[in-house]
Amino acid sequence: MKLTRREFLLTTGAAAAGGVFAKLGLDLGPSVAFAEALKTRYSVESTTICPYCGVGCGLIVSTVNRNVINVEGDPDHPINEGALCCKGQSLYQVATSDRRLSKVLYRAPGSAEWEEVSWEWAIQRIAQRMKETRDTHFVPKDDKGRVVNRVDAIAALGGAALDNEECYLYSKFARALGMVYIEHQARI
Amino acid sequence: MPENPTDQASREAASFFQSLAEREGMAPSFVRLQEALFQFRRDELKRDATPIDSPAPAVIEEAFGHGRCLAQQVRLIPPPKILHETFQRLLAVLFAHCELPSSFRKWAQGAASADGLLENWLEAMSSKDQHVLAAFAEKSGQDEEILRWVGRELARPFYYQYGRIISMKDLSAWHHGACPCCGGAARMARLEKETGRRHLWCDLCDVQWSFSRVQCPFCGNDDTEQLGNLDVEEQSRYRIAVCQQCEGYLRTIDERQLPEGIFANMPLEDVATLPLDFVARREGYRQGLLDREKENHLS
Repeated sequence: MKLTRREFLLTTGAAAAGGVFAKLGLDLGPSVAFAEALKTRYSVESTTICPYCGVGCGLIVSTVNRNVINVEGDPDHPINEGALCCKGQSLYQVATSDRRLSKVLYRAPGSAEWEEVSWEWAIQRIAQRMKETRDTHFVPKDDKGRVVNRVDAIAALGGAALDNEECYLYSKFARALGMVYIEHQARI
Repeated sequence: MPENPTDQASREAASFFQSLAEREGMAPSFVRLQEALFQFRRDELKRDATPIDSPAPAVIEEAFGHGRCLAQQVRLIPPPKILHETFQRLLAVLFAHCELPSSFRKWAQGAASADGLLENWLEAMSSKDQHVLAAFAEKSGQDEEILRWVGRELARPFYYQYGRIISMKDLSAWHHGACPCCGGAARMARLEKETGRRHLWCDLCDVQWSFSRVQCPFCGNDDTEQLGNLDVEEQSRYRIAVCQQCEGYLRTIDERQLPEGIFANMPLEDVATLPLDFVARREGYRQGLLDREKENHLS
């Protein structure tokens, strides 16, 4: 049962709050009064995995009201035992930096300005350009006349934040388009 | 000539208690009592290197191999003569520094010379069944809480020695919340300076062992939605780990917040952080307890 503040004050000096020391004739009033004035902040520590490379270092993220206040390596994680590389060490900024982008920005060819666009427009535009590139550079047969059905003008470099199943789908998607330059950033 | 490490440690402890008595929030009488008890334990540990029967290494291995603490494997009761002499010295300390009820004084003085009573007392405290000590208290006509506290102070010098033996073992495979020596609940924790790894500390045995940062050492809950910390805003080195499931709390010192080269002295920090006990209770938490059905401990 949680003591309410009122109950705490009422029982101060008695066995509940002062414990056995009150029975031993010790006045813990100064400690109780001091404790009353101490402020606390409730924080939560959650474990997660670094979103960058495939090593998968463990992290402990501390939050207050779901706002990140600290990110550190998880000392209990068997992979990194608390250590983090420089990218992992700076993850706090990923969560909190005011320089982090929160909107899609587009700079048109030849332009010096960034303009804000919607996700829907951006995804449509990316898909359109991929199709245009593929249609333009698709190679059905190589110079020896062999059927290759490939596109050399697009490369894939993702992605360390993808899990194994997502990487599988990603590579299938790339090959279905005809891509042959397929890499993974975690290897680099 | 370099100072004897023991003398240096004593001098540092004396300095610590002196500054603690002057610190806001610390009752001088409480600090004086704790200093006297601290010195009492040091003196007892100096008297004889091995007044206890050291458990054989094979016994310890077997205990750990089955996930049992030492107290579950062997009877940790010191020889009667040594126990009685230690109790006499403890009584002298207590009589000088606190106002024990007269009935307890009279009973204790009798117990100091009675055959088997002290052993029965410690056995009652070690029992899995919490009613055993209650029955002992009733039979003795004494307050159970005082018996528990005094009994614990009597046991500490001996359990410190058992703890030293245990601490020489590799405890990396001990993943329980209970002390590997006495099986009791941890009283404090520290976050290691270099790694942030959490080490639980048993005040009875002065043993430390590593334990997961995101698991309750009392009920085993590892749901991070139910675990948290009360960060003390004016004292960044301290936090109070809490569990919403069992409502237990554990005072914790973060060594990483201490100046370089400074490490936590857990017995001294246990005294210095008394106000945090009141903070935790103010917020509705209680001293963490292990499942008494499963563990055999003095608490």
